[in-house]
Amino acid sequence: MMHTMSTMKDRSKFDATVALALIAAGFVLLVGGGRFARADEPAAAVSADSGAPTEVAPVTAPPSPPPPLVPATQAPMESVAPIVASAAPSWFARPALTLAVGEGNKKFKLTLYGFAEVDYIFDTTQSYGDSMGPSIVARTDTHAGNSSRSQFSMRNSRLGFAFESPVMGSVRPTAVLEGDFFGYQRATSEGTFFNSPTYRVRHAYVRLQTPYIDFLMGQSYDLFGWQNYSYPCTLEFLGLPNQLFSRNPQLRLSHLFNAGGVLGVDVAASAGRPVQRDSQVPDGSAGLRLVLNNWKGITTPGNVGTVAQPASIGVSGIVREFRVNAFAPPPVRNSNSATGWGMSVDAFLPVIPAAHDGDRSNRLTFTASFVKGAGIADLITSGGNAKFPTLPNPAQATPAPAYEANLDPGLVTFDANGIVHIINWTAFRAGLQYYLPPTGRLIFAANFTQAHSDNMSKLYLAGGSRIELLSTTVDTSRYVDANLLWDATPALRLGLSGQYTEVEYLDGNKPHNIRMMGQSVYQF
Amino acid sequence: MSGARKAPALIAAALVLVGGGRFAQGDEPTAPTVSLPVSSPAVPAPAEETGAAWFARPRLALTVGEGPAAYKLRFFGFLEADYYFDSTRSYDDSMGTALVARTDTYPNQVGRTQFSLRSTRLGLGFDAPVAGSVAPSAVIEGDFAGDPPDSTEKVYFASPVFRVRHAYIKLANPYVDVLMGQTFDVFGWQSYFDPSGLRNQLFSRNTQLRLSHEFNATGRVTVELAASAVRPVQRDSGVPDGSAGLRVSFNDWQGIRTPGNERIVAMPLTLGVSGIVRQFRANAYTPPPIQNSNSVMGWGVSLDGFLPIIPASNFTDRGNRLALMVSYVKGSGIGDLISMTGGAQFPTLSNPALAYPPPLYEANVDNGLVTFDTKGLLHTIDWTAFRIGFQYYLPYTGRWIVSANYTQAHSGNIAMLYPREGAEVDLRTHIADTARYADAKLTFDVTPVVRVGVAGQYTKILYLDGDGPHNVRVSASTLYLF
Repeated sequence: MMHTMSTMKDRSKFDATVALALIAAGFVLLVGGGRFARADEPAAAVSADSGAPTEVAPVTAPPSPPPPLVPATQAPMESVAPIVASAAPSWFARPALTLAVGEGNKKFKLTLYGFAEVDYIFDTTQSYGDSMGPSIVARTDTHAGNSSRSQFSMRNSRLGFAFESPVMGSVRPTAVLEGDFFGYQRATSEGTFFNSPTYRVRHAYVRLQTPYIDFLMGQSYDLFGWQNYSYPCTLEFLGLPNQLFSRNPQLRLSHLFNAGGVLGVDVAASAGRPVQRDSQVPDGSAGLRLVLNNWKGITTPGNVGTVAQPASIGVSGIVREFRVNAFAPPPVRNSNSATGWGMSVDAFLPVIPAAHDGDRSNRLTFTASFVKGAGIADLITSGGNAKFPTLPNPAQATPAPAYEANLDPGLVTFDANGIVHIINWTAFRAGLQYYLPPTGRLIFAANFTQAHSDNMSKLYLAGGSRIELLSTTVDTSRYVDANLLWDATPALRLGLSGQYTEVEYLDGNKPHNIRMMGQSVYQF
Repeated sequence: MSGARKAPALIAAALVLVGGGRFAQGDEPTAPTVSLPVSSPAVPAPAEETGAAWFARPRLALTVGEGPAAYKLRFFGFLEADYYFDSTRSYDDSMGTALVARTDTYPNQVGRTQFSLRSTRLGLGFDAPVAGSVAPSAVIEGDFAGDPPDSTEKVYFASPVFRVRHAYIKLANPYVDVLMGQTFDVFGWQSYFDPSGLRNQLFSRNTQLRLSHEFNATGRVTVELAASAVRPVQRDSGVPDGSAGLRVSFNDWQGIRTPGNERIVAMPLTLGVSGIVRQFRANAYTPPPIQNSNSVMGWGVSLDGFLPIIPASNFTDRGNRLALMVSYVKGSGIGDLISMTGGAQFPTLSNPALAYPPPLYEANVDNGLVTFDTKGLLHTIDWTAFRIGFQYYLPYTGRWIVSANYTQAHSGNIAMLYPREGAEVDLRTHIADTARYADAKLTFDVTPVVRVGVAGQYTKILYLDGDGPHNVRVSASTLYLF
């Protein structure tokens, strides 16, 4: 592992070709022979080592802050190495709710963070829950595609705990536990879904920082896409449709070279939760990110947690194994294997730079991401509603034989010959965030995303018994939004958003949905 | 069922000891073991708070108010990341009561890898000012194993849902401590004897009303009596489960123990005996609609011991310390309490008229506790289980820990309840009457809050038709304790 990182460190050019080579080398070395290594990064690195800035607490000074807002991993780190440094307390300053016990260098800290949020949502179709997620717009020839829907929800409210404990030797242990109220509820009533939501984990990880390698064990954002460094600013719940957005349990190793210098180089690799546990093989990721520490911009990942963060560009990759039950009537006798993969290039570019967290007036930031891969629908908030076809039933058996899938839908499928294929996806995203003068309390943000599968239409036949899948499966999805956010107080943010989504079904149907959204967030 | 006659006598004896109550349940608040829940007012402050040793870790506690009017809130729990590899596709992240896949199936021939953080735990402990002689406290604690089983793999592992483990109020006073809410059952004095939920191990939490008292709490020998009324195993029985227990602790003979993988504590040599009785009133084994029901009684007796082989003086005295844990449980209709039901399920109703759809039995009791024989008579399923385990804290610091456990459960009547022929003969291929489990684990405290470990676990099942598959699990884990 160390050897791998050293190798990566020595590289001085990071164009796409080199990056690809690095990722490939990373896979080979990290996974021990080319099996499933995964780049990933904790997100904290930057601020941690450098003490700089970025991740700091959204608001004020305190070190504690919320991981979520910024790169998940950062929270913990900050505490230790007080990042903030942001000069004089700004209007946005908000002290962290931190409980500290013990004295001096034996101090243990617990920081409570999160927000209470309420969303008022109106859609022109009956396609989505409160979160759009990977759902697709209802067809134009259906009632749902011609009827609207209103939803009031507080399920995006969030509560987190960040822990810090004393440094032992050169090891600095921290941990984060964070959740929201999007917990899965089985076939529940509408009343229960909105009024009695359940708490579920978003982040839960232990981090051990050392001068050599940082270890992250537990669940956080995946390394693939260096995700939390270039998130869009929007009122819609992340991930946006077609956005690389995923959290998984993982074991991650990373190091930020030249953390305090002008150019930092972040290298990371991780083994992540297998996309399919029955494949037996963890997903593997690796990534390389360049950080320009003197070129900072203001960013709001999602709808809260506005901070200053250095410009960065990252490349990352993922490989994953599928071992799918054979497409035959039960009992299962054997399986088919396939390998999924993905590459992502992600950028955070401060067009009008900022000096620190509080320097928000007339600041403009650009975020962008390009992803290409196969069998990665679960990672890009897409999937086209792809399903497994039904088994043929030539004997007219009753009940008809049902395929026993041993993996989540939308990743792979079977063709008419029963051969397993992974589903390809190409997605990109571009967004801007403008913090209006004179105070920066008013924020305008807009985003565009798109995802397209170039083999979906070939996998779902235009004739035969499976033709109806053409009317339920989508190979192209687009999303556009425009958002206005206003900080009424340092803790209270109000927002309005308009969102347009459009999908293209395999049979040519092309419905769209318009969402209007009002939002109120109390951050703590 | 034969044991059912002895059980009442044993239970009756226990009840007499406890004061003649009905459905009394011995239980104990978890005090010694369970760091927080137990402690409140009644339990002495954990040694960790002393700040004396390398292991010292102050509580994350918030106090408001002054002196005797102070209110306290403590945060406790841990973050845990687990990495599992199984040689078969038999288990989720938690083994639970699942059986090993049969040797003649594909899932037995292929493995599975799982990354999980669902064991992560968060708890809040509350202390309120003493009023008169009553010290009120409360605990709410949960983990993230709350997902329904029908979610996707991604949701199951990456968006696990919070669920309650403990939620109770305790009123401690000089005469009788009262515990109301959910915590470990008295049956098995579980919180004292390593409640970690291993296969074939007594492990259960239920909502209950418990009365208990410790005699000579600070002397050389402490005796505790407890009785409780517990959530009925079957609500339609109309009768709460009843438990009672007697515990004896020798306070001058302390040992070190780690309940599950949590906080390490010092605990005196302790022996316990406890029992449980429960009522079943199952819908009659006939086609719907339900017209009547059949009743039967379940019972259980447990003997448990914590034996410090190489004693310790306090919780920080961990170098070269050895402790032994043993448990023996016998009972009927207690499969839910011992993490072993054998996969027992209700047979399908006979369908001589070849009705379509065929009539379905409408069960009003959980699977694995009772079943019907070929004549439609209701029987409780018998189980005998035992566990033996040790924990050795290596010299010199005690930061390295080696532990191993062996458990076994066997049902003496399940083979007789499922016929060897006829339409239901198929049940014999997925019901087991014997389960064995063995593990070995090595853990290391990297810092006072970070613990890493590796483990190997072996499980073997004997199905009623003789098939005997096994699973080998290799796992690694990381914990951040707070």
